[in-house]
Amino acid sequence: MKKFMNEIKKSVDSGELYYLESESTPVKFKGSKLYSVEQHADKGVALRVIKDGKLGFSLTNRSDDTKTLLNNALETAKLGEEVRYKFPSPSRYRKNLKIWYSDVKTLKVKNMVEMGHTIVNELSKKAPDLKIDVEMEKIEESVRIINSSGLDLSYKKTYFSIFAVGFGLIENSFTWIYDGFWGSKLPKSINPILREITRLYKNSKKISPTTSGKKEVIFMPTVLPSLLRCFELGVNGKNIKKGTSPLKNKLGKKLLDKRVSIIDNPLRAGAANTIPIDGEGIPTKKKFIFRDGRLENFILDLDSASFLGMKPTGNGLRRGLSTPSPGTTNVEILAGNIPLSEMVKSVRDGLIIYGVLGGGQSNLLAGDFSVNVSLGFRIKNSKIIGRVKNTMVSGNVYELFNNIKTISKERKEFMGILTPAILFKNVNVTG
Amino acid sequence: MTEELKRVLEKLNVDYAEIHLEEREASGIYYAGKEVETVQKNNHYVGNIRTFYKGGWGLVTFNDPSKIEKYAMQAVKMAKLVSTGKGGLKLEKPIKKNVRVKLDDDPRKVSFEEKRDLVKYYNDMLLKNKKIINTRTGYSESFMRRWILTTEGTDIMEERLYSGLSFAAYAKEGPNVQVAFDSVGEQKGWNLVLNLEKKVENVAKDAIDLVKAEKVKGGVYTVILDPKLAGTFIHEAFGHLSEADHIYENEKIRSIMKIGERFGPSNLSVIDDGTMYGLRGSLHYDDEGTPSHKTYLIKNGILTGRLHSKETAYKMGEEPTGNARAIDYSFPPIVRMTCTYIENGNKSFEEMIDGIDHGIYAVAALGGQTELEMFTFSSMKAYMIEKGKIKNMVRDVILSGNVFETLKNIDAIGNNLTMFGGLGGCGKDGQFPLPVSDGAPHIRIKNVVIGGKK
Repeated sequence: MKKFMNEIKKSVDSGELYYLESESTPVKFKGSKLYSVEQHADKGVALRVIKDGKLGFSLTNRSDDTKTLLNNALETAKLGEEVRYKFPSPSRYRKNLKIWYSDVKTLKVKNMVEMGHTIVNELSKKAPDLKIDVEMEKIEESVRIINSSGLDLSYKKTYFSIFAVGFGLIENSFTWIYDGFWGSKLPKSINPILREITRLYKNSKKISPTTSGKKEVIFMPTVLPSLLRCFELGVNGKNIKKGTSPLKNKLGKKLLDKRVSIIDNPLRAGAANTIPIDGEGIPTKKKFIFRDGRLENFILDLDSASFLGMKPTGNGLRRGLSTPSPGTTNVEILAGNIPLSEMVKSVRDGLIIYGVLGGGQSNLLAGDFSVNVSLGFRIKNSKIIGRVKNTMVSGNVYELFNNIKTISKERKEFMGILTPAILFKNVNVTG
Repeated sequence: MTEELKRVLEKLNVDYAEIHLEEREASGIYYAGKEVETVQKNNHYVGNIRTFYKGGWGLVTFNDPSKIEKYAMQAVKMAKLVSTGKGGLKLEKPIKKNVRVKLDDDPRKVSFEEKRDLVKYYNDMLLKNKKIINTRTGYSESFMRRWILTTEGTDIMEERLYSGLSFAAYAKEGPNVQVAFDSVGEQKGWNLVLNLEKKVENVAKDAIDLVKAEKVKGGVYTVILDPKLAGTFIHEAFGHLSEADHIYENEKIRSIMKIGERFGPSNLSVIDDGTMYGLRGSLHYDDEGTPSHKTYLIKNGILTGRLHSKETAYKMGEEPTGNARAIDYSFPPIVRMTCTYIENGNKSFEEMIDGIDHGIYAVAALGGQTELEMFTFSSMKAYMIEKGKIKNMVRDVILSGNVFETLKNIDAIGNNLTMFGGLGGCGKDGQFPLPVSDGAPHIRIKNVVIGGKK
């Protein structure tokens, strides 16, 4: 690899090789039965070159065919984007960050199948109306980045996830209830998943008439990620660079309720997206996106940072071998101070929402959202009285996060995003 | 190479096995605003071996076929682990065929510089407008060669060449940023991306108009969907329910999707047709080696068919329809659509709009999501219809409802069926984007719930 880099250096101003090797094993249960076991062995390399100030890119799964890779990168560099940055030289990073767990490594397909059967059997007993789908996946990944500025870093990472969905007719209405686990290690126990699905199943047995108008609505940690998507787009360096983000000139401004702090934390122990360096070899770090309602950081890769005259934040992420692009890692919202049970009690007429459908269709950059409630309950006079159907909630996140009544003490991680429950005032509910 | 692979297949002690290999060369050039955003040229090489034993599948994917014997043994072990002891596949007659791409205007003959110049030309057209603050204009092209070998004796090599161009414009006024976009993408060669000036100008105009447009008022409306949005609707809301894997896995859908039942007015016919010439969703053979088909899903309002793989055809006692597809060979083939559309009716647009007192004309799709029979879609743009006339543009139009009720509420079908390909595709079970086409004529639907401000 070093030899190849030396060869690359001869024909370009600077170059960067990104090697990725991964082995993944997905195990799937469908309709309460074991459905498939797969094994994927992937290996490839991506090359970025800067020649005459222009960027070229090529990737291949044929790691041995270095000649084609270099030729393709050189060909694209002739037409490429003019760049103002250099690939980074090595700097201090958290070399000993734990992201490789032997319990994931040694987990056998047989163990995963047993775990899946346990989930299916337990849930079938407790929620007999539901069919159960379970998807589990273990991944081992190794990354190496070498560039012409002398950087040569590598890491090995494990990843494990479980996603369990119960679905079926309850009281003549089709219902989906889900929960899961995402991490770089195995969960201590699968019981929290079983408990949550069982609890929601029991609550779903009663249907309530829905409601309409401006209501108080509790967004649970399973649905807050779809609202956070708007903020992620807003602070994404690419959108700042292009001027499409409404947050472009808002660094340091107070934009949200002062109780709201949102963090991007690539160093969180055991989390799914924990990494010591980003896809460009920049050390990662924990940072506030919003601190006490104030916008504190954008999410930047080399390109957007150099354009904005700022420092990269270690958020140049790659999907597989693709070109790096600004992205968040492990996002969290800091906890509030009120127990969830108190939060529910404080609502006279409103909803508590666990699942939504249709996120991503509105003008997310502008902060607009409009979603169908796929799993939500009516709260009346401090009590959850039943599940609602055919209900939409809509609004704008920048207004919503200035209309917060309370933030819960408890937090929960869903799809790598760790949040409390938040009770918003004046949410548009269409029933 | 293939002789060696065939020998590996012959030795396996399973009910069925297939080996897939794929070579792909992909290139693309994208502008964002005034600057080039990415230029890339990539090579993929990926394969897999999939085995079936008494109801269980095993799959091993790889980039290095030299270890195929080891992978084959792993795949057999997995299939036996998953096996339930029963179940089968609808096996077919072996096919031996080589399908090559033949195009007079093969885009691979056009230089990278010429492609860049064309993208820049369209991109500059968008940027001419002062209110357009950002754009994304790009050309992409992907040539693939796929081998399918099965224990039935099938030995197919099929080449495909997808290419197309997409363009998006972002307009801004104060904090309000709006986007409009369009694209072309088929298996039709280079000429497809020429002479798109009109489309490009319309996109710039739409983005600028959207900034000024008011948010729609929520409520229940009579809605006319344009061919593009109607195509997205039929693909997302109904097409996915016609995929037989959903049907046999899910009692609720099975109880609803009964052949012979009425699903819409007698002039409503819905088709999935992989044999259409040169469209983005077209193919000669699916990834189980089954020839592509024209399948009526709904004929004259009555449910008449569904989409199958070898496995679902066996389970439901029907025939494979050539719909087992994988986005690439790091995934297994699953039941997917090809080119899905609503057949022409006989109403002109003028006849359809006439008599709508207060309604919405919704054009093109921004996004959509479905959960069984429930769907939500947002249109890229929309206009109010007042007393039979198109009026002001509105934005943030999100349609939602129950697909079966909505199909029955179709009360007029236009006569201008148009098919759309593009550069995106369809997502299912983590496989995205699969090249598909969809289309429809204009359709009019009564009682559609539109979310939005009250």
